[in-house]
Amino acid sequence: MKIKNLMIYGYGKWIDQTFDFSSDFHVVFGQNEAGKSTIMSFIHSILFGFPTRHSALLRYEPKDSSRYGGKIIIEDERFGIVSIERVQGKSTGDVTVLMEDGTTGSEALLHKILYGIDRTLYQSVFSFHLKGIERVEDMTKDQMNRYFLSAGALGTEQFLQKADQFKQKANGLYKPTGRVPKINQVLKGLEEKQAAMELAKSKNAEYLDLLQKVEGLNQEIEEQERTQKELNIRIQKLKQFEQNFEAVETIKQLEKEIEQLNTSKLNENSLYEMNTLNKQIEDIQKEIRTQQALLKGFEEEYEPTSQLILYQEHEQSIDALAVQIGSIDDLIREQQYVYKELEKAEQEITKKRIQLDLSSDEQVPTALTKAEKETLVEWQREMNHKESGINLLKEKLTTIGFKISSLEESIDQLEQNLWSNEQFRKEEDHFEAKPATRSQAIQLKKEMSIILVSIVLIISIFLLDLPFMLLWSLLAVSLIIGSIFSIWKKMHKKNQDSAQISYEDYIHQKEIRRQWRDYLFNSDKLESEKQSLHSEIAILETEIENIQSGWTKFKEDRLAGYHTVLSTVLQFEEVLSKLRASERERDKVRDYLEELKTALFLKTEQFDQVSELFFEEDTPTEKITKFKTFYQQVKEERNQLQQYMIESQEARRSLNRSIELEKTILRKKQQLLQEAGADSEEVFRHLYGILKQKNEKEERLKVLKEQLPENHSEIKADSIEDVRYQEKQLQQEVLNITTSIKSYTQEKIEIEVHIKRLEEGGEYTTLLQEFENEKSHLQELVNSWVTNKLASNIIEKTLKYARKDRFPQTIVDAENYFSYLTKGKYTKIVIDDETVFILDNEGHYFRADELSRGTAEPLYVALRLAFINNIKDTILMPLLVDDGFVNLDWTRRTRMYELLKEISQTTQIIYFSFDEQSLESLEDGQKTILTKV
Amino acid sequence: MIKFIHAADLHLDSPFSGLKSLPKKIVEMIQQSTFQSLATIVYSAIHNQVDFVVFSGDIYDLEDRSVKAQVQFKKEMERLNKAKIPVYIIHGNHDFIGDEKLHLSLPENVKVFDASVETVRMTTKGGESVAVSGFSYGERWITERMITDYPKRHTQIDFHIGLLHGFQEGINSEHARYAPFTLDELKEKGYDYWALGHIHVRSKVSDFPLAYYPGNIQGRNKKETGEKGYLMVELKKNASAEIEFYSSASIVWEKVVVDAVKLNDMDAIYKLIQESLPSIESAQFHYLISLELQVSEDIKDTLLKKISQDQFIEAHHFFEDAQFIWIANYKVSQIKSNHNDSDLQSLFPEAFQEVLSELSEEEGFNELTTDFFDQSKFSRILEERSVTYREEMIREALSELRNQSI
Repeated sequence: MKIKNLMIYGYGKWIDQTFDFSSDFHVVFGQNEAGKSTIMSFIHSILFGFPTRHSALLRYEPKDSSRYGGKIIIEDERFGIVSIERVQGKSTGDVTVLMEDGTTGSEALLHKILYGIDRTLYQSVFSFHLKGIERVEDMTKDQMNRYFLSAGALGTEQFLQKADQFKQKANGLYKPTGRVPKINQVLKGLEEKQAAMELAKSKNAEYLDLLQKVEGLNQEIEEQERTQKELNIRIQKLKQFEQNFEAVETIKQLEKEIEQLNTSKLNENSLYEMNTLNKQIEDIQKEIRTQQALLKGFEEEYEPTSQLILYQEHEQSIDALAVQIGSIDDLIREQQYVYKELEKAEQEITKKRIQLDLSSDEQVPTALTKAEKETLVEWQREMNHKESGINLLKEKLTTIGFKISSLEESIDQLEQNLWSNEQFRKEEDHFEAKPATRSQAIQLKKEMSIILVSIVLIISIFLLDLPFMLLWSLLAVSLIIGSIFSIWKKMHKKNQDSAQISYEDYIHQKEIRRQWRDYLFNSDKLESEKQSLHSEIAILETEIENIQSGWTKFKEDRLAGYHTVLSTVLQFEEVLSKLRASERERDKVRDYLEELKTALFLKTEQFDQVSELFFEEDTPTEKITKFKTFYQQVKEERNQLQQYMIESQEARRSLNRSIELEKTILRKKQQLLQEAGADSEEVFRHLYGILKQKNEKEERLKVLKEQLPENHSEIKADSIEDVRYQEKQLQQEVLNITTSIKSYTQEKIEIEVHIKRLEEGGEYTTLLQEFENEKSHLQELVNSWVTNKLASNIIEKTLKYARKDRFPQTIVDAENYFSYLTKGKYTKIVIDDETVFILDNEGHYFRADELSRGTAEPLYVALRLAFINNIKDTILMPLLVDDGFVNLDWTRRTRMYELLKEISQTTQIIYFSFDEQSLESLEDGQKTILTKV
Repeated sequence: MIKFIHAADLHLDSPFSGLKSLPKKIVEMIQQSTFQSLATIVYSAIHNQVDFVVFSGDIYDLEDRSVKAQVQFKKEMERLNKAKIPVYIIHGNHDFIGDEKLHLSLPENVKVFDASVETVRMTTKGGESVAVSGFSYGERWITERMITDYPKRHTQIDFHIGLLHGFQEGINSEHARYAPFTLDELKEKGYDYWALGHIHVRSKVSDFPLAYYPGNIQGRNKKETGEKGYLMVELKKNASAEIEFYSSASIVWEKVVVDAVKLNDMDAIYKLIQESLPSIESAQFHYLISLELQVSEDIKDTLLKKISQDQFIEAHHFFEDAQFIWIANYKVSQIKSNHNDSDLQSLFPEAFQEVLSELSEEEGFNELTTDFFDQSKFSRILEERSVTYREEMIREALSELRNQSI
């Protein structure tokens, strides 16, 4: 890669300036402040970016122009002509790379074009000055050596410096034997933490032991507490004993006293019994008084009434009367009943008389005899027979009358059509007589029979009292009417059959004539029948009159004044006979009633013995009622009296019983007194007073004994002092135990706290966490140490390997350059154990650090140029040389320029110088002369 | 159907890493967190009336279990005992069986598997017979192929469950010390469910057979992010199993990366951080946040200084009685826009690569770091110099190299 043109838009003092560096070797000449460094910086900045704010590099932002940056045109074997433009933008500036083919790119492409090297490397390898040599005096031998070595081997010492920095950092982090480095410190801290943790861990192991220990302590404490409790009980007992010491004395006293009181005869229960008996006696006496009062009450209460006195005077007779009351009652009831019967019979008779229209006092006729009755029946029968015969005849008469009138009508009709006799005769002659019909009569007979049947039917209906009477009779009537109508129609028809004067008319006339004659004949016959019927009726009516007169005579004889007729006389007689029977019955009842009255009267006469009971006008019935009331009252009073008797007897009996009981109890009391050896109750009571005293004492003794602890007898003590001494000893013992329990408990609590802490794990967990924190801190530091170690190692090793590859050829080139620069004075460079030696033409070896500056500089340049020459297959960049050769003499400087020119055949060299010598023998295109503005 | 809880890696009473200067109250909550998570699991077991509970190792964080952890664990097991819920436990590399006399005894419902593979049988409330096979670590490292000792599935039972605290081979060689197994080996046993433990990240190892790592029950450092809890497993005879994760950890670690490259004023950055943190209103957990703030390389020095100060982030701590969102870890990283390689790499690419590969090898790395790792006894408690670690460190070193531009 070669730089062809610079186009500065604005960079430091340069504004809108172009430079042409197309030649392989180009000198930029100028005095100080002419702008050489600015151009050099411009090249660096365009290729690698403007210096950032935090960079140590100088910044060249133009003061007068707003445009910062510019463009470099380069020519490259790989990419051809490329324009690299960098202007103000982000801090390192915005890059535009324009390729030959017009494509553009930015940083990434530029990076590729620049072989991936950065500003640092470029500055340290390809852009060299000899300022480093200026410090040669200050360098140690080793530094000096490495300085030369790296110039040849690595092109620069920068890498080694970097490696040193990493190494230093690593050493700052850790040294195997150090104390100060961070890791060493952390390790120490970890050591402590681990120790603490080991301690905690051992505590973990202790945990189970501790649990057991606590268990043991618990048992121990329990045991001690038990003992303590027992001791306390004993102390308590002693204390009680002490307190009751007085009581013990009293007990002894009491026991003695009790012994002295002899109450052996006295039964404990006797006093109670005595009291009970006294109480019983008192109760019984009260009872007796009550009963006596009751008895007296009974006697006062009883007093008989006047009625009872009366009764008691006539007790027997009254009782006898009372016996009869039942039968008398029967009589009265019978009498009442019969009386009612009589009334009923009277009413019946009255009713019947009204029915017969008889007044109540009217005499009833005697009964009819059998013969009379038969006569009446005969009369009735004949009468009926005859009357029905008349009726029949009258009916026949009516029928005949109908027939006659009908015939006459027919005749009248026939006569209208009837020719006169002469006419007929004339016609008769004319026509021969013809037989006439006769069927008419037969025809009529049929109708007549129907009428007859119907009549019979009607009669039979009425006689037989058949069901549907109305229906039947209607049927019959309609049959009759139908027949009559039929007859009438036939007759009528017959009458019409004439009027033709033809032969037929003649025949017809002939027939009519014959009919007419028949009708006339019949009419005559009917007239005679009518006459005979009339006579028959007259006969029958005469006979009826005879019977009627017979009946009238009979009535006057037998039933004068009664409203009756022949036809109903028998029924009338019937009613009469019933009335007669009723009256007979009534008479019988009336007689019986009288009999009863008499009997009752007789019976009640006896009751006059107790006439005080009655009024004079009282009826027997009333008397009986009054007596009954009296008797009832007496009976009740007697019953009551009896009740009183029973009750008073009972009261007397119980009174006797009570008195008896009192005696028994008094006996018992006496016995008690005897038993106690007392002759009176007072003595008895005195004795029991003594007993009570003894009992009281015994009671007190008991209480006192109870107050004492149950087994105070266990305590052996002669005096109260002895007791107190014992107590003191025990209390001391208790105190000892309490102390020991306390200390056990204390121990236990401590262990438990410990256990709790272990279980909660606070301490251990914290330690673990702390250890972990330290550990991760250590890890970070170690990682950092490893990283730094690696970084320095990568640099050193890479350089070492690289040197191995390229070093031999580089040394050969360097020897040539160095020999040339020193006009053959030094012919050989030898590297031995990282030390650089040079050999002069006289065969002397010099260590690099022994060289004068005038020799050291050419050696350094030779090594550096040899290095650049040897890596050109990898990186080929223009070499920027900043006026380094001021310490060289003229000859060496001339040779240096020559050498540079030679090298520039492969590597472009831009030489910045204020040495005019450098401009010698250069063409115009090979130099740029800057003048101070 | 059987229903059980599968949890693992309880690490009771385990300290949290990477914490400093927290309020006392939060420290207390953290110290309680593993126990609280366990209590939640036990509550769930009782509440859901599970048939049994399995813990696949690492109940305790340390071999010499802390008394607190033992007491608390016993208490919780007693609760399950009261509810008549059996518990099957295997111990893992962290809490391998030592002298059991030194430990609190557990109630009778708890079966702790021996150091050799054992199989126990049980009958559930529902009458299903279940076989459980497993073993506990008898020492810190189990390199033997214990998986080969597990019996084939019993034929006379309804379900066979394997408890195994170990690592699937081939994923990461450094876990070869932890009862290694392969998927084929699991498959071969024919079990219905493998209740695995050891890996703290919840993951399904396989569908056939069912094999799960439930993860640990409480995140304890910034790497153990996200919800932590247990698996509720329902196995059915003739239907597919239902396996559901339930969160039980009260404190959740969360990594929050805030991209503020384009921002260059403090208020905006402050606001962006605020927005990126879990919102207080909707937060279900307590949060410990590992916050990385990415800013531009061109950021002003003064601003960089300000936002790098602890005070800047302190304002984002939220702590009330019921809730905390605490930034436990804060890092400001400047994002470089282009430089991906170091200069050295550009200059000597072959040599550079050679060095890197040399250093990433165990030998080179260990030799370089021998000063510390082979001399300090505390190196044991630190991360092992595993491949991952080496790679991570080299990455860090390279980034250092890049940042060390003059």
